[in-house]
Amino acid sequence: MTARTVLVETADPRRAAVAAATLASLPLSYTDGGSSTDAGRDAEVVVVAGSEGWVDRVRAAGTAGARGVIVTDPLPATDAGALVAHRPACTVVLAETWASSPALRSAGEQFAAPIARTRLVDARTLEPRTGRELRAVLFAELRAVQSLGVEVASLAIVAETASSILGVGRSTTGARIVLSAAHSDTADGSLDLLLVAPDETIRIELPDSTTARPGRAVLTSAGAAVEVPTIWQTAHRAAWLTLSDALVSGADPGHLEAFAAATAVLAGAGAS
Amino acid sequence: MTREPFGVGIVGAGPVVQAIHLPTLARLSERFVVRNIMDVNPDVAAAVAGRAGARPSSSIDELLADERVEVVAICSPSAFHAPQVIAAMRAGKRAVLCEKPFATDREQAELIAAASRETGVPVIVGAMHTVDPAWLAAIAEWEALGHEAHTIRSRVVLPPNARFETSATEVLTPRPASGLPDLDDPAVRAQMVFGGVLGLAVHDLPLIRRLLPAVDDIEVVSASALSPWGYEIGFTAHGRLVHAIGALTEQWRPTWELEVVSDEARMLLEFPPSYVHAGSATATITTDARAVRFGPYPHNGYEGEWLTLHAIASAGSAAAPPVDGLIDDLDFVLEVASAASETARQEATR
Repeated sequence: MTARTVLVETADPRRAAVAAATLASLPLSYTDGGSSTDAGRDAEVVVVAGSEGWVDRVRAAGTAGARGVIVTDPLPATDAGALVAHRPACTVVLAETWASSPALRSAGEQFAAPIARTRLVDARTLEPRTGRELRAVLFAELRAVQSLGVEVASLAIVAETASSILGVGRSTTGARIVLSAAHSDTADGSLDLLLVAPDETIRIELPDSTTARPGRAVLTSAGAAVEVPTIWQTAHRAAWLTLSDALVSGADPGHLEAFAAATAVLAGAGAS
Repeated sequence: MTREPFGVGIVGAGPVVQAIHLPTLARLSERFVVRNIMDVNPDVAAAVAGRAGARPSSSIDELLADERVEVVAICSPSAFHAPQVIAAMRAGKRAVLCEKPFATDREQAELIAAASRETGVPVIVGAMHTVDPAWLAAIAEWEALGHEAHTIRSRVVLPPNARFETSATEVLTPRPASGLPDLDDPAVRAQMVFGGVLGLAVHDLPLIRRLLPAVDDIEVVSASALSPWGYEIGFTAHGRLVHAIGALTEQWRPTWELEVVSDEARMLLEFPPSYVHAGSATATITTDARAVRFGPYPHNGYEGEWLTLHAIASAGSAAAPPVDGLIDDLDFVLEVASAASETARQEATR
């Protein structure tokens, strides 16, 4: 196995640090090709910061010859749909706070049937007061719900107070979708997901994306509770492995389509 | 104990009395002895009273005429609560415990309040979470530290009641099975949400009211009926956000959580399921520096209700909670129920 050369954008120190830590955890898959703000130069993989303008930087990396692009913690971007309509000549993987969680992926795979029977999805989290805007947090919740295999058809922001936000909507199968977030100094970056079906519940607790502390996913039915095995790996590392697999198989992971769909749902959720 | 146990009369002998009040009173035998149990079905009254060694009655007049009855618990359907509470007061009993909701509208609640003031007989409402020891300890700490809640989220997801009723007692009169509601019918959705608030959310709404600065500007922002039974409700009050979910399912795990968030702290209350005597809730207050846990304490909110009744029956009405507070709690519950049910009625379900 030959390690792919990686170039990490350095403009956003926090995201660059996350990428550097992830790179260090995958020495056989990736090798450091140096850091640069000139996205894509001589590197097979470019790690783009998901801060403002990331869509343009992804396109630039593809144009410069990168085979794969990883976007670290992408912010909601109204122009993400343009990447779907006019795809860059590279595979794009999004490394997201919760949507990339390996526990979420396992739960989606192992609990697919009960997830399809769900009548309620309740996602809730707390965000540090110095952290993201609550609409961005809500978007991250939406992406996590999507990644679980729940297709969200509609969402409305029904309350936005000084400290909290509430969005409600429906899945394509009619399940009630509830997304809520609030600011508090007690926030630990985790996401609490509860899915309720007539005969089952699924409780998923996801840590923040920079820790290898495992998420937990438990399906409870009338006669038992089943927990997916814990995976001690950060969400970012899982995303990087997704790109590695995609570059071998040639199959696109479909992140951009899902992200664009979520962007469209949030755009229809009402003005702030 | 410095006095003999108070004689108890219980109006209504349904599953709540069988599974909750009689087992609770059996744990408090130094303070209470059940003297009389009334039910409109004489066979049920006789069977349930027989379990407790009490005299059966088939009318409230008969029960109230029993001079050994000193305190009365009203556990009948809520439409009968107000006249029965007032009758107990006028019969000169020492105190009344009324199941929630203690009236069906403000007018009836005012009649109860007037009778209480006139007779001097105190009344408390059987709202077990309001007297759960973990809640009382945690809210005292929360308020002492000056935390102001800006977000309150409730999650109640429960298995069938029978799972816990049959763990608490051997129920004589099981609940009838209910069919699958048609949520495409707006009236069914509205009724489910209204009933959900009065039957389930009602346990925590008094706690929520205490955590809000005021509730005179409630705006329901979302409400939905959940299949097969449940509700989802969001509302704001004075710039605070409240969200509540309640659902009955066939799965086995009871979840009963109330989360309270401020800028600097978070309080999480985890209540045990209804019916069982599993001790109090657990409350955890977290700040960025530490987490402090309260409970579980040995006794639960059901015992808390009866211990409160014992205290006010012993000390007189001055020890009772202000009846105006009970009316305000009822007003709050009814307002949330009405506004949420109307929103659910109008909601597009697809």
